Amino acid sequence: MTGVSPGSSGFATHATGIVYHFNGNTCSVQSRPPLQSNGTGCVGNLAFGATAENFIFVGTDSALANANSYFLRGTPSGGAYTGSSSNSPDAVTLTFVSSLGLEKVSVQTTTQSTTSGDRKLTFTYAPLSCQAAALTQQVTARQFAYATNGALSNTCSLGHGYHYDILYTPYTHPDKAAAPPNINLDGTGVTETFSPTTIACGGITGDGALDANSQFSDHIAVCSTQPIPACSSTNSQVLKVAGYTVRTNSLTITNTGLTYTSQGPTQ
Amino acid sequence: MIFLPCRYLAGLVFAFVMLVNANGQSEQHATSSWNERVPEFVLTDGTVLEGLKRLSSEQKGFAFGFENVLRAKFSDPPVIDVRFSLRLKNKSVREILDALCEADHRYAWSAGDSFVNVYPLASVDDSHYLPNRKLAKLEIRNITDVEQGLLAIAQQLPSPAEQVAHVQLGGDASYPSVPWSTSFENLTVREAVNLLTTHMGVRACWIFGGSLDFRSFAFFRWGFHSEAQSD
Repeated sequence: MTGVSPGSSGFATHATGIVYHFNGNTCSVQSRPPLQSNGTGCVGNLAFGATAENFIFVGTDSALANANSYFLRGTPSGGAYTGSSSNSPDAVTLTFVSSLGLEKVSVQTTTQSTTSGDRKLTFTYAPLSCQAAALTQQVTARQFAYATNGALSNTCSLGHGYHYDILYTPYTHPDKAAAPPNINLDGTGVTETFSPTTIACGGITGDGALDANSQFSDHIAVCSTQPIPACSSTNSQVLKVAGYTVRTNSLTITNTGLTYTSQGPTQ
Repeated sequence: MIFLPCRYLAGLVFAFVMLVNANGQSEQHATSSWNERVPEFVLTDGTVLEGLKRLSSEQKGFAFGFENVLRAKFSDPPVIDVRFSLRLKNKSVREILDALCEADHRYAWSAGDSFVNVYPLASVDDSHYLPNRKLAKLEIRNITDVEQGLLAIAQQLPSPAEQVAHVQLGGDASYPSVPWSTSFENLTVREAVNLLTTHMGVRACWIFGGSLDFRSFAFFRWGFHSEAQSD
């Protein structure tokens, strides 16, 4: 694997006909296609044009498409790209991004990996007059599964009541790892449901989204410029990321305070 | 008497499209997309607010402010919303908003370039209704939280003093961490809240509700989401 430095994306050939790829955390090997019979020795080349993560996220939320994308550069230019997943129900969408000169391949899956790295994505590039090249990436299909949260601090600035901004960090299965920051997960939907749906103190419910740090904020506010009339209810709150439950809380909301109890899951 | 249960109040549009702040800078928003066609819009046994959430979640850049019909007293039971079903094909956003308001005659809507306001029709000519009240000038100084903006509105309204509250469960009302200072002239409370909300993000929405004796706002930085396939 000489000539390919760790941390970079690259493509190297070996005299034995084996093609080695090093892409971030994954090293993959394919058989090199034979030389063309016309003797030109023209062989297409395919490489990642940006960091290729060794994971994708499970779900149909359209905002996942950016995190689940790979950028490819095939040479010589003008050829055709393909993409596929070893999990056949996965949807693979290819789009040429002219501003980057790269092919964008987005993968959508609704099936979580059983073990880390158990799924193989295969990309090919067939130039018009050269032999096709292939590239593979072993990935983990990660499904949002649970979340941890930071401490609660009252930030009500209207004089009466309370306002808590609760910061959640979502984790995934099967790896039980936090979603890393800055991987284009921002905008992924965080939906909330409450049971019963009627909430004390006139509370209005709504949705959130993952931010650039792959975290989300949940706001619980009963905060007023004047004293708050007596009110009270206990509601179950279910938080979902990309459609998957990551937390259930019990909330007792009153005009004088909030009782917040996590009901998990914790792993 | 001519009864217009739902109408596009063009006269109100321009107040938000091009508000000029005290520094002479314009607050202009993205090109309107109200004539954009929606291939299919389906609402089953839903309310105006639920339809609005669905429509906005399917139209990028579509933010809104929704004002519930207020109950008379805080202790009164919740107002029962009108529920209805709609199936519309190849209609513009404008036509769908019309259809939503026609299905629940209590509401009217108006729009700026990228922001829709839906409010009780009965409030349109009520100058005492909080969102209709006028501010000669609104000065905002180093705010990092939408509540600070609400407080500025309440403090800068002419007498009588108004109660405002921030009451919400769930969602993200976080504000940009960089302190925001600006000022605006000749605007309504509704327009001021639109501006406070737009500063959160292009898809940020607000909802107003409660009772005549306890009014509350809720803010959602990321707007609303269509139901994703889930567990």
